[in-house]
Amino acid sequence: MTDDGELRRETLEAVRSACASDETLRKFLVDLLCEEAEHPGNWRWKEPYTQRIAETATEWAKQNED
Amino acid sequence: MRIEQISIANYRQYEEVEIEFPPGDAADLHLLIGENGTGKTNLVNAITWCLYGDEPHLSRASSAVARPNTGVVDAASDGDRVSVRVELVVDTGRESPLTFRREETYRISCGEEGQPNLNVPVLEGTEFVVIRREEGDAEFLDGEEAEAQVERFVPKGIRDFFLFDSERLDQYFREATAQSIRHAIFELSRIDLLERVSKHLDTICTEFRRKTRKESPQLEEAERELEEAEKRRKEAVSRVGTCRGEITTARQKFEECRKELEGIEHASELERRRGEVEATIGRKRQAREEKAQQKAGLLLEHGVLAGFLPSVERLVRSIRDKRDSHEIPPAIAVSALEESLAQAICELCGQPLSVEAQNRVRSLQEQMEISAEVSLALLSMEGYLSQVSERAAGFEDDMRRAAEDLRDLDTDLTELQSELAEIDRKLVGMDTARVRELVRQRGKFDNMHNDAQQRLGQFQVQQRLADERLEKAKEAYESELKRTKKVGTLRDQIAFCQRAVGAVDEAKQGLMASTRSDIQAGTTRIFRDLTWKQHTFERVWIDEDYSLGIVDPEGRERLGDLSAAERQLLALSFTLSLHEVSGFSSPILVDTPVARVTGDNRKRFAQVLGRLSEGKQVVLILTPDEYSPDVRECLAPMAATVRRLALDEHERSTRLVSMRDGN
Repeated sequence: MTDDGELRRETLEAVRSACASDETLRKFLVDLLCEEAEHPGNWRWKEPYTQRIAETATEWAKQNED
Repeated sequence: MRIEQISIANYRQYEEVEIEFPPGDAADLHLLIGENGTGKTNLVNAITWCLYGDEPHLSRASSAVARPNTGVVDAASDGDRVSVRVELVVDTGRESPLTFRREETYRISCGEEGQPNLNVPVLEGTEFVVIRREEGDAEFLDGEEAEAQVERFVPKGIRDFFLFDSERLDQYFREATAQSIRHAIFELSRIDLLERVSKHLDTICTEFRRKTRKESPQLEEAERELEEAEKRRKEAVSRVGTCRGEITTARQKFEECRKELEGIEHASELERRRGEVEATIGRKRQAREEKAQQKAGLLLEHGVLAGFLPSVERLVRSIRDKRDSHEIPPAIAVSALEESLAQAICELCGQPLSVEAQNRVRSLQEQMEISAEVSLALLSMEGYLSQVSERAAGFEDDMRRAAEDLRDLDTDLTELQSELAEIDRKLVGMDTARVRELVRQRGKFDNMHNDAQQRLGQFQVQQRLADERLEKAKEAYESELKRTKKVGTLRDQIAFCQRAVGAVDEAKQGLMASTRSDIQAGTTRIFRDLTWKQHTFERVWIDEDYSLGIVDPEGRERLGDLSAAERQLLALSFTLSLHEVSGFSSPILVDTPVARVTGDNRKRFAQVLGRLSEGKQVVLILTPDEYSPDVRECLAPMAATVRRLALDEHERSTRLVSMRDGN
């Protein structure tokens, strides 16, 4: 069992490939995928999502400044 | 995830049963053997009732019987309460085990005095909870939280791929649309997680963008246009998707009809010709009836006369002869004689008439009256008899023509009846009503397919236009966003969300393609392992629209040619491949897995199912007939538990007996 809980290896690979070298983005997406796996059906997703975006976006923008 | 224990109390024929499933060393395989009627299928029903509150595998007979065990109900007194309960203890692999418990309480109402003793259970209440126990504490989840746990364990929408009997799986598979197969693949492969992340990020991104509206009118306009363009594009994509689905479905249904009609296609032509022949026979019979009536009418009207024709003709000749020889007094007008007498002047020569002449005229008048009457009578008789003679003479021709027409009609009818008999001979054994229906349906699906194809073209054009509009709107919005200084943080968050959505969508596309390919390859491999026809089927395919087919070595589509047992194999192969590829860890429980399979093929089935149990929990419920020596030889050594279901002496309750030695 990986640290990512119920996520398939193939899913993690697909995300890694899509994110290329953007490690910040990859960790962010894996985190969200784990949350979704923990909460099937309806759940209060907005706050966790908004919080994570707020935590990550500014740093990501700095890393990806042109 | 795996089931550790099932506890059943008073559920149908299970009065009090506890079934433990300890994992084996090499495989997590568990066998339950039972004769018909011992509760095999109701064990599956117990699990589905516990998790979802329904019993989809219930037989028609059982569905009329209330859930509480009949032995317990009959033994109860009036007013007693009986609790029906099923509990599943599930090892989730990470956290503490979860207990899924569903319980119904019934009050027993007995029959009135003097009436047969018939206890009736009356439902009073029901409860479903999920219990999480940790270090002595117990957390009780109910409502949506409990249902969420069920969805983590075995999602209801795809439970038919986890808890099934082979026949039901085949039926589900046959009725499955490309959409439902896609849904099964997405859920089992967890591609649905990516979809949910994408959707949620998209929602938040839209909300961030809306917040930027207030920073400038230009930004507001650009954002509104972007939102509108996105909405239009979603609608266009949805229309294209729906249309593609309709095309796929229509094509599948058309192929099914075409396959079924193949070889009996000419039956529809024969049927059509049969209809035409029957209609012609009807018309000919009607014409014959009318002709026969006409002939009978002729005979009735003229038949008697025809007998007297020679006499009539002689009489007519006689009258004509006498008229020609002036033997019949001319038809002198009696009024001339009357006028002559009245004037005493001859009307013919104008000379006065003497008394003697007047007497002679008076005598002639008397004779004339008699003669004129006779003359008139003879002449009118001649006229009438001439007509009768003509009619009677025509009668023979008319009768002859009528007889000829009748003979022609009889000949036609004989030929048509022969043709009908020939058609019927060719149609013997064919279900012609079914053929007609298939031809009708084939035409319907052909039209549906063509209509959908036309609409698809239009929708694709609309989607292209929507894409272009969206691109322009995005550029315009981002340009405005860069220009507007006040939206710094929001700009970063929007850009980040958009990048995240793009990455998730890219990951999803890649995963869909690879998963579909893997499931296709897995289904082919397992199917070829299971099937006894090693040269008939080459591979299984699943196209981008998630419709499924199977081809032979020449590349011809053969899905419609599969027998019932082969369809069952295919459904099972697809299911097992889904489980292999997805890595979804929940157990599989199969009721009568090899019922439709015979001989050596049962062993192949058993081997495939046994291999599956090396990676996940597999529970097989078999009849003694299915648990043949071949199957036993394959499965018993690797099974962690082998038990027999048996009814008690009163046949009211099922118990379990260990069969560790395989007997």
